[in-house]
Amino acid sequence: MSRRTSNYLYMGAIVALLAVVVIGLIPREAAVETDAERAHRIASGLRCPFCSGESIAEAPSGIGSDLRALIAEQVAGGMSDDEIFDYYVSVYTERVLLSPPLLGWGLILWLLPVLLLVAGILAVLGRRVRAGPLPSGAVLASRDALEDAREAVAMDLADLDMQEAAGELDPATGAQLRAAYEAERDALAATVIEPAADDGGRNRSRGRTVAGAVVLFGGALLLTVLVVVTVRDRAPGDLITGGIASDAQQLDFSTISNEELEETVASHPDSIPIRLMLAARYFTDGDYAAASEQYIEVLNRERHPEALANVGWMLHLGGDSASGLQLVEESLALTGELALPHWYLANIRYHGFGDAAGAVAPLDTLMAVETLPEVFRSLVAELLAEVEAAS
Amino acid sequence: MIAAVGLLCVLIALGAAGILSWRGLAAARSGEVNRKLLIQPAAVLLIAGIAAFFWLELAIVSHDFSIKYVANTTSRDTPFIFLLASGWAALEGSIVLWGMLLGGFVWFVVRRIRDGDRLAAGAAGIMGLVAVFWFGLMATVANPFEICTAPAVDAGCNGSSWSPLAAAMAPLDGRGANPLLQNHILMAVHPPLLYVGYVGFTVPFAFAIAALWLRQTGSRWLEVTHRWSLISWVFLTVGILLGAWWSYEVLGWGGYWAWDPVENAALLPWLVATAFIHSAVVQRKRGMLQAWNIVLVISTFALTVLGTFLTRSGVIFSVHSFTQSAVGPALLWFLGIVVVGGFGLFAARADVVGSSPRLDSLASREGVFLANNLLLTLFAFTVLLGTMLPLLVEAFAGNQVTVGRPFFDRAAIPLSFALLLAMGIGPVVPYRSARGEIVWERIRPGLVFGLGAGALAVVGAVRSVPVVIAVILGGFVVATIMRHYLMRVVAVRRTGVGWLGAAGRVINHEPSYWGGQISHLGLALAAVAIATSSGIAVRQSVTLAAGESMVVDEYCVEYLGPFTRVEANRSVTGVEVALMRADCSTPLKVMQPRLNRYPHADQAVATPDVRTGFVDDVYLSLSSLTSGGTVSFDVFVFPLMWFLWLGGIVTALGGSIALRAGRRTRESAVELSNVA
Amino acid sequence: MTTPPQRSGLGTWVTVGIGLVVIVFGAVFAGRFNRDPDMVASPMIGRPAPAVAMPYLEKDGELVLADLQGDIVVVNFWASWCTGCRTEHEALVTAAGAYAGSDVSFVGVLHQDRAQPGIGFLDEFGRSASFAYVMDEGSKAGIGFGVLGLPQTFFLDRSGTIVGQVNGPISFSMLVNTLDAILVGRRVDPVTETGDLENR
Repeated sequence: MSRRTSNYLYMGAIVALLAVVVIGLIPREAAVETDAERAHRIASGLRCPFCSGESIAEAPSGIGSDLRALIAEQVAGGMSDDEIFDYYVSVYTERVLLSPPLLGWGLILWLLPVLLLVAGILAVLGRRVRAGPLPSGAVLASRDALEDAREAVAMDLADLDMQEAAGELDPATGAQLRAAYEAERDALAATVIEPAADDGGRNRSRGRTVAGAVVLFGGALLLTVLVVVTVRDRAPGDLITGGIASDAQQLDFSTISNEELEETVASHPDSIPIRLMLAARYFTDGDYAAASEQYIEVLNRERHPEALANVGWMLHLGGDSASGLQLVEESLALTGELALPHWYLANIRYHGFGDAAGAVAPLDTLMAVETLPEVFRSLVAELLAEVEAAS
Repeated sequence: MIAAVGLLCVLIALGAAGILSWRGLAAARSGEVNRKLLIQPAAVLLIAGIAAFFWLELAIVSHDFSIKYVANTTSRDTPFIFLLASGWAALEGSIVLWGMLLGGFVWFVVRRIRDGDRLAAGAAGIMGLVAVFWFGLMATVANPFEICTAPAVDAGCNGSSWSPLAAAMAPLDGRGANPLLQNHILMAVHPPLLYVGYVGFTVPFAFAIAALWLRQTGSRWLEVTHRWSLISWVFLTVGILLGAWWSYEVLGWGGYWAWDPVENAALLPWLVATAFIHSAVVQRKRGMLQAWNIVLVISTFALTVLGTFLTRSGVIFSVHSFTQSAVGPALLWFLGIVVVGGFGLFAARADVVGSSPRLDSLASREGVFLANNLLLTLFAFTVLLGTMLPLLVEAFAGNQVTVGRPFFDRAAIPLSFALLLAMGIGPVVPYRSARGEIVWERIRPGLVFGLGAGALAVVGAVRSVPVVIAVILGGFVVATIMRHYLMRVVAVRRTGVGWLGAAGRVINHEPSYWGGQISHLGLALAAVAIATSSGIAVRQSVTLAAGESMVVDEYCVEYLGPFTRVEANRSVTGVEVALMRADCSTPLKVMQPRLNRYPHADQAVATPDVRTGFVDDVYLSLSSLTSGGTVSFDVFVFPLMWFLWLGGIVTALGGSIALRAGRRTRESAVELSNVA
Repeated sequence: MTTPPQRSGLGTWVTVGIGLVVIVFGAVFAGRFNRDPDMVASPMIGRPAPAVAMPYLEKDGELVLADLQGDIVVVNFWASWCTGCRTEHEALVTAAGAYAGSDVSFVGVLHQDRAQPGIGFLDEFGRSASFAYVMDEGSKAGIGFGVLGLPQTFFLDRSGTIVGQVNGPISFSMLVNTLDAILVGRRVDPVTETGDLENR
């Protein structure tokens, strides 16, 4: 098959196939848009007001499907496209329109890329095409550039051989190019570039030493401060949790079970607030054995007034009123702020030692506390009446 | 303790970066480049970066809620894998990952520096400066190791202190991971891949800046960074692909690309980097486009910073905190410095960046490369304009406007077609000066094949013009490349090599060229899938009662009933839908579109179910489940959807093959001349 | 595409141009810091409230806003999944109690939520007898009011015109101040932003 025949065959095939495609794509009857298609088209042009950039047609959220339903309703209700778009603009402002307007600010959007395209085409077309051999030293600002240029022209000549052998080039063009490359090679071989003046060689070793020392010293200082303060301020054993802070009442522990608290206490044996909270829970539940176990752990670490008072109260309940009294008094000596130790003191004095007169003072103290809960106040008043009668 | 050690790692890395940049720049300036002096801080930077990242991970997996980041992005019941992913899923963590990756790139660059290599030392110095910025962010406004000082009542942390020595107040539980993250592991995977791509472009940028600064604007910086640009490009490609796949598989709106600012932010550097990879070929091969390449590299890097800024600063969309951190302004400053510094230096060095006019004729491979660069730059410019114009309009005119899919589609479709055409013609056009007959001979079989595919589509009742054009052009590209490849294989085979051996040898001989062609194949496949999935997809909203069925396109769906179940980290409400052929009796799959609900999150995440088939994908997305027992869902049928994923993988694969191209061995020559 | 720039001409122009672009964008971006980009000026102010019938949440029947004409109306959009709604709930309930008897009506519209969790929310955080809790079927009220997220509160004057809007959790003092201003016929701030608007 000759070259020409095969060319005709290809041309024929291309024309025939192109005809099939074009004829196939010519719309036979004017397409009628169904309501659903129209609703989808409108929804595609409206931005879902709260999704990031998605159209209403694409928005998966609940409001998206509600909006789609509303648009379908509006389409079925006979509203025109413009009416529907205007409705959403009136509700959500212009930013629901995904498609920028053709005029006004939208003009920038359509015009700038076109301008850039034109400028780009002009720049490409206007590119300087090699006219002849390179004038020596034209743009060769550095030895680097000279190296590059020499290598490039050597590569050009080698590639040219290959291209000519493969028949990719017209013989005439090939010869012309070869002449140009060879001329360039010769020009480059003759180009010499003066070595640039050396600007190095200043002695900066002293500055380097000083700065290094400053950085080292600063780093070491920082490290020391970090380590010292870290070790001092944070409770031991806090590698993981960072220590649960002392004013634990800020946290809501009501959902934490006793077992979880036990675990916490076990892993942070020195955390007094947690242990106190756990002990208080056992104490309130009447589990005195468990409560005293925790309180004693607390007392081993700190003479905490709450622990002292509660342990004293438990001792009193267990029959050892003398030791109990001692602990409650120690607690009150530490702080008079807590209400319960006063109550314990009065009770132990009155019930444990029959000392009705001694019970009056702590009860009076309690009555003077304005913020005392009413239930507690009535208990205190009741006991006060009783001891006053007895004394 | 963890916080203190973590912050210390960050500070050490910051110091190392500072020393590296100082030593690198000083060495480049004086010419006394001592590899050892540079490799020390680079090693420290890498190790400290890795350590900071692992300290953060350790804090997360050990539930150290005294650290605000941990308290606000994880919880005790977050599954382990998502705990790990939380290390980079939120702002501060992502910056830590960024820093670690940058440390890795710095290390690989510095490791190859030889004594006396001023360009590489300068580049190491510039990378050190970039690292100073990122680790500086971590040490100041984006400290991932902030101590929680005000725990919230239930879970999470409301207030924090920068100092690792502040008295910590740990909440008992954390706020839990982002439900979107927990919904699909891809959400954890694709951002880091994008980051590798983003961070990787620091290398060519640093070399370009160093070359400008040192007036070594030859091709050497291009040779050295060729590999890094390609690696970054491959990761960016995979990252974008996985992002699209995630969007498709998880988000449930029946698409994979919404032209939203986040996606555009990833696409922009990809487009410019693609232009750069092509124009770099022209400079390497023909010594042209020197200045243009520098412009492209600076632009790519600036666009990666812009992308990070747009997605992380909350200027385009709400990041859901009313008072935002200072990360946004810091990134804006950095962006400004990169753009002004980069282009300012470029302008100041205008005398050394010009290349001689070496173009022999516009009708040549070089000419097609120019067209390709024009198209890709125009594409990037248009996307950038569409993304930014609403901000300008709001700033100057005061009204809030949107630029959405209609604009981007209208701009992208013709540009993509032109690019496909260039992809089909360009690779078979000879360099220097192309004879018309040669080009015609090489492309006509592809044209026949493409038009044949188009005609087949038309006969097969495809009536959408863009789809038919995409099929024609896609077929043209695939056929032209395959023909060219087969002819080479046949030629090699004549030398007595087996078919397989010849097939491999052709690629091995020119991995750069054939890697590029494989990428083109992938892009052609993807283009066809993008056209079919948007041009001839079927979408229908369906409302069914239990037991009812309905025919959609070539399929029949029957609503079987609702279900609820509790999974490891979520509770699921969904419906079972039987997918059958159009006869409503041949079962294909029982599909379960659903809503996933996560602890600590108020919102449910809708998740579609997809059946991927050879001809098309069926995609069900649940919209509502009424109390009356009916269900509403959307059915989508996307033809040839798998072409997109395959095409994306092939594109990235092509990039990896091109990586095998050895560097031209002229470094030694340059060094000799430097030393002399 | 780029011809080699000349040191004096093109280079300077490129620098100046890029400098200008950087300054413009820098200013534009910087102006957006610490602003919620989701917040928009509402076009609803000064327009009559949409005529939508909303079924009551906890009883039979429907509420039409037009029926409340003559009263000053507070329309609050809320949902059980919205955390800002929890913050503001007490303020709303207290205000409804405080204005009971005067001609101020409170309407709580359950938006993008089902009845069950909505009632659960009221059980947990309390309800006011002088509050009309209604459902937003098909989000028609929400769309009609141009709701962009929750919580959002609208104030209608006696003629049923929307005169004020609060985006984000509303406080008791803000409610009282606005209502008093409308009662004595003073102009109110058309749009106040107090926090994030949430969407599901």
